[in-house]
Parts: sequence; structure tokens; C-alpha cells
Amino acid sequence: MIKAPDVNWLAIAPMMTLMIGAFVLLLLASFIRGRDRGLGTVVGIIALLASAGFAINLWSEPATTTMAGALQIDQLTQVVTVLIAGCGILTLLVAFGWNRMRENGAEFVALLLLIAAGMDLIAASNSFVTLFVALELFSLSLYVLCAFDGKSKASLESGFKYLVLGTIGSMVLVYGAAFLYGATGSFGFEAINTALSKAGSGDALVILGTVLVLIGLAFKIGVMPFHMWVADVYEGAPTSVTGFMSAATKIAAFVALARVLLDALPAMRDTWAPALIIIAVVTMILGNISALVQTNLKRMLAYASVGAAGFGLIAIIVGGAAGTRGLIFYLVAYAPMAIGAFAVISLHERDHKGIATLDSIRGWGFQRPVAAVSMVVFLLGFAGFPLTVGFIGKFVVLGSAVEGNYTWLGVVAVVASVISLGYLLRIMLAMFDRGAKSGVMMAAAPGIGSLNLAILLCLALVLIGGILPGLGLDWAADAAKSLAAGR
Amino acid sequence: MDIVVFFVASVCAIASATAVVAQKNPFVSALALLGNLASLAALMLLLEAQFVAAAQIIVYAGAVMVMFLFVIAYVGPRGEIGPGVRKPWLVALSVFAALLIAVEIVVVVMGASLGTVATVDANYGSPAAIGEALVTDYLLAFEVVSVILFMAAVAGVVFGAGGRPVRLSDDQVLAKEGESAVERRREASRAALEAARDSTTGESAR
Repeated sequence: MIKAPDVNWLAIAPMMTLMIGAFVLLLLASFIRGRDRGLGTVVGIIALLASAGFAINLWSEPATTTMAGALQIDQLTQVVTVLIAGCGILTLLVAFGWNRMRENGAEFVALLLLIAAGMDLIAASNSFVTLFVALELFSLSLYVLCAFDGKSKASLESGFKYLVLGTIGSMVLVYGAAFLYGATGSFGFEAINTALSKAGSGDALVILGTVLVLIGLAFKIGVMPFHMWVADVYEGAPTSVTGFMSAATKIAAFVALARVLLDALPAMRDTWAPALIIIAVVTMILGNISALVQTNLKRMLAYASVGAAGFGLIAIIVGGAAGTRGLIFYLVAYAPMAIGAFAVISLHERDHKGIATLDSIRGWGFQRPVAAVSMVVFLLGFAGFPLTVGFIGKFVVLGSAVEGNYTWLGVVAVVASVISLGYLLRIMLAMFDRGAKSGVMMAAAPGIGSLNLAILLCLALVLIGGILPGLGLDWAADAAKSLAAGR
Repeated sequence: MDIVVFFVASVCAIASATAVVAQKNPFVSALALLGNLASLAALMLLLEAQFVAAAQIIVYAGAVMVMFLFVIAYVGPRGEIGPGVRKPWLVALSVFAALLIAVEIVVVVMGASLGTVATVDANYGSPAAIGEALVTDYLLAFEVVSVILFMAAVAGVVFGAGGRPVRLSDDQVLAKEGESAVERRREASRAALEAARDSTTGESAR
């Protein structure tokens, strides 16, 4: 008689809620016809809120593993679940007025819920097997969402490029995990750590495995030199999806990297830390310089997000309690700024029925003052200005860098921030360019209301987080204890 | 005996994999992929994984490849890849980089501590053992993979079937977007019908 592993249903409730939400939504959509948009949005928001609720409910529970050790349910998992749910709700609000939501809204929302479930699973993964299947669940769904605007060639191209390059990243990750399995005899993070701390870090097989796993995850995060897909994919994907990608994908991939490097491979620190330092420096500087020469706003912000990913790597390099807390808070801080900025671009695209460039937004700030001022706040947040949550995020990471004797990395990060001001200011100045002839504004598209709501919610989060960061910092510190390095 | 089978299967696997990417004709590529899957199945047999080898042949070489060939036969010559951007130095550089990685991996694997041969019990690789692993140690992965398959079906519907018709009567469209929109909708459906008729007659003529 085979004994099935114990399943802690309460612990996996957040992920189950999202998957069940997706199934129920598709079932309902086949009975309630022609109401895709409203149905999808309502069911989607209910499922995301419920998953966040379950996660908050689990907050004070002790950390546990379930499903034969495949998942570890701890406070880091809960923070990520709540964050992803927030990103999902904001994305649904941004996407509401999009015409594809009328035709395929149920499928769009169902895929979004499955992506959220995959990301939660990544945050909870306790072995390379779980990590890989969760990564594939969210990546494959995300390829589809990128290509969701089937009539637009750019969208199809974006989805296809992401599919091909993302698959290479996944393959490299699996190859690396196979080498680590060969050397240690296990896929589990804890078992790998135990085996490595006994055997030492000299085995060439382990080094190769570590390097390949690092490359695979670097692909997903989109740091140099594995960033080539970012600009094209972000540009071509529907803007609501781009915002979701830049916030939620980064969160999931960074947490995966932290779990792998800090929980499974701390013994290999001498191998991965120098590589990450080089990657971080190159990414921060070159990412921001590449953004300087762009004129398409989505491409520009894509490179900005590459630079921001380089900044996040500093926190992983530093490690320890301060570094992990910094990483988690930085991810919390980055999400509303990224989604908000792309929401404003989405609003502009709907106003002008075309892509957003530095030319097309000239003078637009006078037509939509609230959105444009919000955009200014988001962009200042990217640069790390005080009173925005971006400032606190950068401050915490830089503080941990100084504490961990990586002050010079912090200096490089500050230089990169100064470079980023070059293009961020260009966007702000263009929006409020008095000399420009104010472009003809089309009749307001339907569904602008929820888009405005999303922008205002992001604005509120960025400002509240910037003025009263205490609660968020406490959460981040608690969640950091979930990682071995954070204790 | 084992070593001979290993080398023959390995050479076949590498050669057919190269052919998959090197061939311009998608039909030949698909057939080369078939050879690749078969030689990988032979390698799996050497690793005592009889069930996986059989599943590989039945599922991939059988069902999946037949689907591939159907699609290629259906799409026909339109499916051929265009010349694209083929800068010779870029090709040379990527081949060089790939070789470099290959050499690195070979050096590591040759020098690695993989000398000891693991002994497995007679039950290893049997359908029962694999089934047990799927519902015990890898239960979560097994379930998540089924969600992935479900997701792929949804994606297929999105791309294949297109959007569901939005139920708006002409009156609603009229109220929303004005008279021209109704006219446009009628025009579009007429054009679509015409196009469909053209394509079917074209098909039979061919």
C-alpha cells in the first residue's frame, strides 16, 4: 500500500484558491456568455483577495513544509503571495478597458490567476523540482499573455521571443540542477546544503551546476548579459501585461534566486558572489545607459527595470539579515512604482491610440494632470527620491551594502541612479512641455475609470510607503528570517 | 555491448539534433527529431529506465510527432523559415561560444566524481516504481504539471479559436458607437464570408 504524503491544506490554500478561481472562472464563462470582462474581473479580484487573505491568516503560523517536503510555507511565502495578489488586482484594473478583455477576458484572467499561483509556488519551493515546474507554470502562461493581442504583430513577436529565450533559460536551469543532483544526490535545497557543507565546495561538478543555475535564473530576472529579451518583450507585450511582468516576475525570480543561493548553495558563495558582483555592476551601469538612448517609453522603462534588477542583486550579494531584509523591502517598494508607471503609459496609449514615445507625450501632462503628476512621482521613486517608497527601498539596500563592507557597490549604485535621472527627467520634462502643441485628444475610451483607480492606488502606495515605511520594514524583517541567511 | 550501444545512440542523438536545427525543410527537421527521440530512448534503456523509454517512443515519437507532421503538412511550404539575419561572423561566434561551453562541460564531467556506478534494485524504472514516485515524493510536481497542461489547452483556445463573439445587438452598437459602427460590422462579416468562400474554392481548384 502506497502512503500518500500529508497535505497541509491550510498552508497551500493561497495557491489552491488561485487555481480553483481560474477553473471556476472558465466554467462560468462558458455558461454566462458575452459578459467576459465583468465576470473575469470580479472572479479574478475575489480569488486574488482570498489568496491574500489566506496568506495573511497564515502569517503568525510557524514555518512548515508540506507535500513531502516540496513546499516550504513560511513568512517569505506569505509576503510574496500578498504582493503578487496586489500586483494581480492592479493589473486587472489596468486591463479592464482593453478591448481584448471583451473577447477573451475569462481566458486572460484565468491565465493571470495561474501565473500568480505559479509565482506563489516559486516563493514556496523547497526543491529544484518544485522550482522548475512552478517556473514553467508561470513562464508559459506569461508567454501567452505577452502574445495575447493576437492581431498585433508586435505582441505576437514579443510572445514568441519570450518563449524561445525564456525556454533557453529554463533549460540551462534544469541542466544545472541535474549537475547538482549528480554531485549531491538530491533536488531538495536543504539536502543539497547539508551535502555541500560536508563535502566542501571544490567539486567541479558542483561549480558547473551552480553556474548554470545562476545563468538560468539570471535569464528570468533579466540582468546583463542575459537581458536581451527584456526590451523587445516589454515593448511588444500589452502594456497591462508589461507592468505586471516588470513587478511580479521580478519578485518571483528574485525570491527564487534568494532561496537557491542563500538556502541551497551558501557553501558555494565563493563561486557565485564574484559572478553576481560583476553582473550587478555591469547591469546597473549599462542598463541605465541603454535607457538613455531610447525614445519609446516602454523600451526606456524596460531598460530602467534591467538597471533596477542589477540594484536588487546587491542585496543578495550582501546577504545576511540586513541584505535579505533589504531585498524583500526593495521588491515591495518596486512593485507599485512599476505597475503605476506602466498604467500611466497605458492611459496615454488609449488617449492617443498609438505607442507612447517621448514625442507623443509632449504636452500631455496638461491634458491629464493627475496621471502625469503620478507618473512624476513614480519616476522620482525609480530614481530614489525622498518621500517616495523608492527612496526607502534604495536606502535599506545601500545601508546593508555599507554594513556588509560592500560600500563601493553602493557607490556604483548611486552613480547608476544619477545616470537614470538623465532619462527620467526627460520623460517628466516632455510631459509638461509648454511649447509643444497639445496633441488632439481622442474621445475618452471606456474603462478609463478603473485605470485611473489603479494609478491612484499605486500613487497612494508609493507615497504612504515613502512617508510611513515602518510597517513594511517590519514585515520585510520578519520575512527575511525565513531564509537561513536572514536569521 | 553496452558501450557500443551507448556510442551508437549518442552519435545518432547528436547528429539528428544537429539536423533538426540545420535543415531548412521543416519536414526533414521533424523526421530528424524523430530520430533524436528514438536514440534518446535507447540511451534511457541503458539507464534501466525501460518505462520512460517506452513512454518516450509511444508519446513523443508516436503521438506528438504525428501532430507535428500533420501541422507541417497542413501549413506546407509557407512554414519554411526565411533567410533572416545571417551575419557570418555572428554564426561563427555563436558556434565558437557553443563549442566552448561544450568543452567546459566535457572537461568537468570527465574529471568529476561520477566514477562509482550506482546499483539499483530490480524494481527500478518499472511502471510501479515510477507511479509510486509520482504520488509520493513528486506529488506536487505531478499536480502542477497537470495544471500546466490545462493552461496550454486554454492558450490553444485563445490562439486557435480567437475571441468569443461579444453579444451586442446592433441597437447596442448603434447606441454606443454610432451608425457607422453597425455598417462596419456588417461590412466586416460580409468580407469574412467572401474570403472564406474564396479560400474553399481555391482549395478545391488546387
